[in-house]
Amino acid sequence: MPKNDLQGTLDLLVLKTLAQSGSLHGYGIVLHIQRATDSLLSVEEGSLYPALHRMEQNHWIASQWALTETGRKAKYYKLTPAGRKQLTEAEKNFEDLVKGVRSVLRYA
Amino acid sequence: MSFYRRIANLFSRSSVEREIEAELEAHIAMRTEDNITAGMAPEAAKRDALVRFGNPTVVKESTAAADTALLLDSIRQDTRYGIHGLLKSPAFTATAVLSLALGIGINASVYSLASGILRPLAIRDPGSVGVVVGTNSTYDEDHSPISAPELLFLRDQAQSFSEMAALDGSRSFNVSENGEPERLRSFQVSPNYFQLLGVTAQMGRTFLPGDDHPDQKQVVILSQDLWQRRFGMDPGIIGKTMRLDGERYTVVGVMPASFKQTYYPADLWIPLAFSDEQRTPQALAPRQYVVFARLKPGIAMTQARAEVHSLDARYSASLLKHSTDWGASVTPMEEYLVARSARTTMALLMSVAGVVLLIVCGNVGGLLLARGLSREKEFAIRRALGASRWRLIRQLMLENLTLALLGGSFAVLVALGGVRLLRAKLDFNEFGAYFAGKIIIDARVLIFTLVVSIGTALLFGLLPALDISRRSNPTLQEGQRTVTSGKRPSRLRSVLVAGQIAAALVLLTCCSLVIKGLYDLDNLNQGFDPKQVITAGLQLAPETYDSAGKQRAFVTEAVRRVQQLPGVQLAAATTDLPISGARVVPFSLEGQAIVKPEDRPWARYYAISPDYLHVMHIELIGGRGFNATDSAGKPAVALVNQAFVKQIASNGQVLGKTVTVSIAPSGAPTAAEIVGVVENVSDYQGQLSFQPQIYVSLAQNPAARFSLVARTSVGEKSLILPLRQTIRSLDKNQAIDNPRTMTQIITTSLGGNKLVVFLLEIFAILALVLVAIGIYGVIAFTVNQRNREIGVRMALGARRQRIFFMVLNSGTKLVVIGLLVGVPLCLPLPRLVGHMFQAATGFQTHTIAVLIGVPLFVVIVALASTWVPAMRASKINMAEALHYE
Repeated sequence: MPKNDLQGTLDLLVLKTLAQSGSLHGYGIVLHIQRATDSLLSVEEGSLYPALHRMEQNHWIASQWALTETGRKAKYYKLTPAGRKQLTEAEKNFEDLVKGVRSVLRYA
Repeated sequence: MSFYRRIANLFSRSSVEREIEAELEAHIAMRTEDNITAGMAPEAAKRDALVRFGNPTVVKESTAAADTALLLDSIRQDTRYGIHGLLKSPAFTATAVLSLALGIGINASVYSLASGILRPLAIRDPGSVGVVVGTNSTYDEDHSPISAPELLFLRDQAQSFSEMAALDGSRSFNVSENGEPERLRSFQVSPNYFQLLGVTAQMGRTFLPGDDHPDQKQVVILSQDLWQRRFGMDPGIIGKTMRLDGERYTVVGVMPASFKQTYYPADLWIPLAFSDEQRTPQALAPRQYVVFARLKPGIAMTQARAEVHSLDARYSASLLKHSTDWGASVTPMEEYLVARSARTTMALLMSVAGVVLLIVCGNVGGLLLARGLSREKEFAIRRALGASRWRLIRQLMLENLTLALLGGSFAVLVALGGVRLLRAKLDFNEFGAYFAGKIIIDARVLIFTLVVSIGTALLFGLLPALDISRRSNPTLQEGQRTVTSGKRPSRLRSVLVAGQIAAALVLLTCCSLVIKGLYDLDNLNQGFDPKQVITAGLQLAPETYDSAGKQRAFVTEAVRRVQQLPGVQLAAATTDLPISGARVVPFSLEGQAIVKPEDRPWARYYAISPDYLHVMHIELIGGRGFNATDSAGKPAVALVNQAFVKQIASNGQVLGKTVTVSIAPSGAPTAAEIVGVVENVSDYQGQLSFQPQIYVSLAQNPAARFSLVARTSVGEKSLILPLRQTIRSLDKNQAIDNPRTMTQIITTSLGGNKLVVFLLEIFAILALVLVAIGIYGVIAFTVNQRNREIGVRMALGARRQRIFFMVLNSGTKLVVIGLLVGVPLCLPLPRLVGHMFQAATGFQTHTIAVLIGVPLFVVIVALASTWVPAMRASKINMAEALHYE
């Protein structure tokens, strides 16, 4: 059974965001998800951070302190090769989930 | 985040927290700024940011938890899981832990032996103390003491040393006050000896410059042991006097017990003075001084050696030289005290024990692979549940580490037993007994054990862990059947077993060569028969026996009384026993070209009473032995050995010729007519080439120092007490060495060899048993795995005999691979081992026999351990095997 909980979804969103935008800090990731989903999905912003740190533990993403455009110090995250692999897997799992849920809905 | 940082995080949570706080604050600040830009009032902007963010404290906590807890938790979890698994298969766990305990335990024991023997000396800066030694290529000698004139020459000339001190251990003293008469081992040392070594007395003082002046009162320093033994640790001993050989000495100091380790055990030290006679270079000087020299700061041992070489060349060219073969060199003190052979031996034992551990690792690795196979499903489930391969490897390695550490803990017990055994085995002589005290399980041994345990886990565990985790396919396959055994694990197991066979082959060959070599060395024809001979050493007190006549009378009477003891067949006396390193004296033979005194040849010198040859069973080759008529005042007589005839007499004719011997450094030479030729007798244990020997009549050349010997018809040990009492009845103040049997003396000088042989034998047997178990294990396992296949084969008409050979063949294959790898590794061994045995002297261990015999033996053992599972395979019940699953 593929991993398809909500945590998995958040991971997928973060990985995808980083894959598209290269290097981003946590706030930037939140903004990007908001923009990309037209504010359809809004998460409690703080809950992003445990997920980020966990993904870093898994070597999916790597972090580095850097300055923002406004000159503020922030921690930037970017995808690692392992993360890229994980992203492919997560995307596939998600599609399976969507397919599964759809077929259930169709027959309901 | 790196692994190290994660570990570091465990201990510095605050810095992680600060970092997380900074990260979260930045987020809230950026949101607030954006809100303000969007037109919110600053306060509302901040509130909105916080609402969107959630409770910062909770976020911080859960973020920190993601960072730190993961590793620690999962390690704890894995360890618990691993221990649980180990407990669930107690047979596996017990086998693995016990093998590891044995393997690691013998390594820890040997390490404690080596670290006890090779321990640094307890003196100041031992690295900068050298020993000036005599070298002689003819006698294969590189640790000889040197002579007084050369010592004094070097002390005056050498620039490399800040100071030099000499030690002469040749003198012993009789003491008869305060208890039983006793002979005390003494060292005469230069007054600066203790200062050079940087050791101080525990009471009183060490020697001062001037203590060696002849007009000073005579002073003595006691060993802790003597102070305790003879003076009951009298705290007021300093300043008291004691009588040594009848002369008064004032006690000025007591050395601590620990000082023993700087040199061989001594009872007392007295100042060494050189007489004017010894200072004259023309004087013929015996080589009896061990010279310690401390390097000047900044001078290397090699520089000092070069200087001594060149000074020695100058000295030889200018003055006398006993023999042109003698040279001088400098050896680091630690190398001097612990012979190179001891280092080689320790290295050999460590290597052999290491190979045994490798074989143990092979066995445990094989067990793990077999166990991994039965756990395939378990790992497949874990992979399916999301555990990464790395996580599985980590878990397996944690299990292996747990096993290894368990094994290591039991290994300490094994080592405790091992150390006890080693100590008991080291009791063969006083040096052995001295080292035995230093063999302990200390912190160094424990750290060694820990490191070896961890290394072992990597060694036996890594390959199986990688292999098992690779095969743990994340997709589960239901009802998997084992029609044929999985190729991978048995291939890896086969590699392990073949490797073990190769390792065992190398180990057994090496052990056999060394054991054979030592055996040959210990059983060389020594030219006499040590069985049923008892001996006792004496040194007549000079104040009582101050003339040759008195000495002669004592010896004659002592021999007569011993002769009458019940159980004694024949008694005699000799200045030196065989294999006890008789003194070397220069001589000249009538009819030889006259050479300068310093160029005369040298021979071992023995003064013996008439029956000595008969007591020792030394064969007379030609002429006659001594008899009672060869007494004082009669024509002087001498015997020589075969080596003398061969090396000295050009035409092989010596009988009737006169040999002239210089016994004392300056005394008048003694001339004697050669009346007989005897066979060569070993001058020291393990002597490979014989030197000339000269025997003179003890009656014509009385000596204060001699040994009584007696051949007995009853058990020689029963005569120890009567012999002692007989001497006491002659003179109750005369000290006597504890009587010993000749066999005991040989054991004493062989002890080290015996211990090495004993250890090598144990290791060799262990290796063989372990390999047999390993082969048996892998073959029996494959038979089990192939149960069904064998059933099918039988169903298809294979005959039992065929099955038997099929299994036997799989074992043979392993043996052949093992031999192919092992035999080439064995080929350089004879040369390597030969180095240990002074190959230069032509000493040969029977290498061809060993090189053929050992592999043959390994093959037999290997095939025997394949036999049992092969038999079992051929007896498999076809129907049962097919219904098995």
